[in-house]
Amino acid sequence: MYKYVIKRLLLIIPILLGVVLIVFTIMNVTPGDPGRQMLGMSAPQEAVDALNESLGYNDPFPVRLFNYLKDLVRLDFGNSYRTNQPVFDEIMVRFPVTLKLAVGTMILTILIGIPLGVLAAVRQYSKLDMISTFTALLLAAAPSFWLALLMMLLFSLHLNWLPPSGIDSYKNYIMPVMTQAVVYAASTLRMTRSTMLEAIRQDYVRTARGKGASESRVIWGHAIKNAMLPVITSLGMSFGSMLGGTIVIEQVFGMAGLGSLVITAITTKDIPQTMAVTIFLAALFCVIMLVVDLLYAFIDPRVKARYTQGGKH
Amino acid sequence: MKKFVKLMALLMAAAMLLTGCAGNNQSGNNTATRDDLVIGIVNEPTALIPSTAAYDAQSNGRIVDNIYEGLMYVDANGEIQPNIAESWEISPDGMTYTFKLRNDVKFHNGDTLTAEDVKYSFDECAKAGYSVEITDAFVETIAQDDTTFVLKIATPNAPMLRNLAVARGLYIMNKKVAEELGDKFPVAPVGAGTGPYKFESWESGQNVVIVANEDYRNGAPAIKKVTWKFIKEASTGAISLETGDIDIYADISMVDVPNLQNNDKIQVSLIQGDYVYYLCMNQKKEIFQDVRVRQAFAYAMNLDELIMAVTNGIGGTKTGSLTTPACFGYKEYAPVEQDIEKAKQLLAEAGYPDGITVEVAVCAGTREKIGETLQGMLKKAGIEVVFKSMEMSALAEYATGDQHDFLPQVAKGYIPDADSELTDKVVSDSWGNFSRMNVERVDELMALARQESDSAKRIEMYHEVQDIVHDEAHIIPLYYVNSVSAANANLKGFVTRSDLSYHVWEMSW
Repeated sequence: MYKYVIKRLLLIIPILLGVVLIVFTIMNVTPGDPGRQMLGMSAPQEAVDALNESLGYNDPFPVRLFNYLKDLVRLDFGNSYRTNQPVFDEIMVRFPVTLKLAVGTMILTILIGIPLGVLAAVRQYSKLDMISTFTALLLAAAPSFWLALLMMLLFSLHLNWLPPSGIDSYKNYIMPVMTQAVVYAASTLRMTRSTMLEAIRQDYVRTARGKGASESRVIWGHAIKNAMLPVITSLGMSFGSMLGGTIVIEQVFGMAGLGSLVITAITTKDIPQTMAVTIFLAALFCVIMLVVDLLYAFIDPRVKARYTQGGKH
Repeated sequence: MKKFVKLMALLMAAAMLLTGCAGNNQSGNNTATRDDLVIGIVNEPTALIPSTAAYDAQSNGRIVDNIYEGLMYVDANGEIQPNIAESWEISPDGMTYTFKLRNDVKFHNGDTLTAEDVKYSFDECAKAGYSVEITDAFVETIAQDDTTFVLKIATPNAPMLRNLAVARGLYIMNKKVAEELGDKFPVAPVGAGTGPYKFESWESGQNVVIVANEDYRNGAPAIKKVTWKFIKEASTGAISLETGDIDIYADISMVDVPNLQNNDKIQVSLIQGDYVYYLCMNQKKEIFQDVRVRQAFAYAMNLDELIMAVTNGIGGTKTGSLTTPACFGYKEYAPVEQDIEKAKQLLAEAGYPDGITVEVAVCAGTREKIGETLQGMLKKAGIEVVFKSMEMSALAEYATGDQHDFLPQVAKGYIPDADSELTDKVVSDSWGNFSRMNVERVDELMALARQESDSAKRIEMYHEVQDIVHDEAHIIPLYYVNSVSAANANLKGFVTRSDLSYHVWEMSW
């Protein structure tokens, strides 16, 4: 088991290298330079050139790539072009915000998506099923930007219950989490529903019922464990995308998370910052997928056996 | 199953109750005892030092204006007043400026300001390179003694004194602190300024906090603590203002203005700003070398329609002048009136009876909107406009390489002086001269006016330059960009300034 984990962790390195090469190339090949982006269209060319020169942007691409990789090996990610501070300082300050958002969304998604999905499957085609599926799809199809502003109007402006922006207290997280959870809960609900439907049609469920087990035990004790596997993978990937994809939410609710950092870095052509955030998120994503795979082993004894016996099946 | 559903329902109800109980804890409307202020700005600053404030007035500049001070300042009437310098002298040859500094100016950390700090600040500004239009003229900076600072410049320069008074890049910072903190200084300049507020904290991505300088020599300000909150989204800013979450939103979107104006709890301050949008027609292209073609362009435009389309009607004030009313050397011209027939006639006279096809070069943002609107507008006069949009740096390269046919440009003089507002636009070989206009008389006048010490003669020269530009349609002015910001109606002393600054020390509840 441990050998497997170590192997997976080591695999992260070539993945990250690939990410670095791709993103660095894209950032350097697209038009625009940090000097012009930072100073704007009305600034004289000489000021822009001077700024680019001081950032080391004028060296040819292979030279810059080499320098970047050289520093990367020493774990030196460089300074942000924009603020001239070490890039990871900014990331470490903002990461907790995004993490809190992602965890909150995850919890709400699981709390809403799974039970409702199970209910919808068990009472297939009942009114509950129809209503919950319909509502889920409706909310998921709505643009999150729009939903966010609607919530702000209702809860901040009219009811005065929640603050519209910032990250001062837990109250700031309620609306963003709700806005995000809506989308992920909807897909979790649909997925749970379909995997449950499949699970309760299996033979072992009939056997269990035949043996006299209560409906509750059949559903929650047996069927759900099998239904959960694909759902867990999907939730794992959702969590990964939540960490990097909160851009719109962060922008609308004025929260300083990784999403808004990445957008600012990209639009100001802040290459060191963009690279650092991308690498960070890629590494996190790999770790999350590893955790998901390990979770499989704990839930499904068949998978566990495969891992511990080194694949002798 | 049923038990589970009941449990969920209970949890949800509890959650709702909790949110309800949390209720309203906004400090919003209890103004009797308020002494703090929350200002929402769009972008996070990149640094809090004077030199960078020169290129970023909206974020760096606004905060820097409250923390640092310059040798002089310009009062409400446009007169230069002493500040850190109590008096000054310009040598007869116009190349040496001697400033006598006050001996009682203290930095926020208690140090006394000396000429060494002034020299350091001037040198750093020149080194940073963001104020080259001013600092390029510097030859030498000398700290003669603790209270005497001497600046030597290359040639006599009439607007230089005003430049020095207004330039954010030349605010004075504490040399000792700057050198001690080194790289960390730009993001945490503790104790480095002399102004009414001192830097307290900067929470990355969230806000910057400054607190009142109780020992400020002109008296401690009424507002004791200012939190500059970064709110990128205009709608969020407007809502935050309405809920009382913030007290001022610095850059409200034109779309939100009517709604906020109708709200009694909000005051909206709209002013005609210093930025001018104008049209540059590349005279290196043959088609624009004929003055009649350029004039045809002017007659083909409907400025009211343009302003409505691009800025919702409130964001611009049409103008026929390249300079602003507050500018030294300003001359008023009537904005162009649309006359399609005249436009067509001029084009025919110039040899294009069937109209012409030209390309407009723009990048995303307002320029794109102007380009799109012009496309539709100019068609009626027989001018087919091909729309070419590209990324900002690509546009800069395109224009620098003279590849554009025509493009909209926006610019503002560094100081309200025609030397600053016109030079880059009209003098041949200037980078910002996208019209590529090359008129000997204009070059001559601009050079003479810069060195002319007689104000009346200077004004005459600038008027002549503008007459030439206007009569020969070298550049077509479009509109002044209006600046709008909004605040809590109870805030006194709030006003939108054309330099985008907020003088918080003049505000109170």
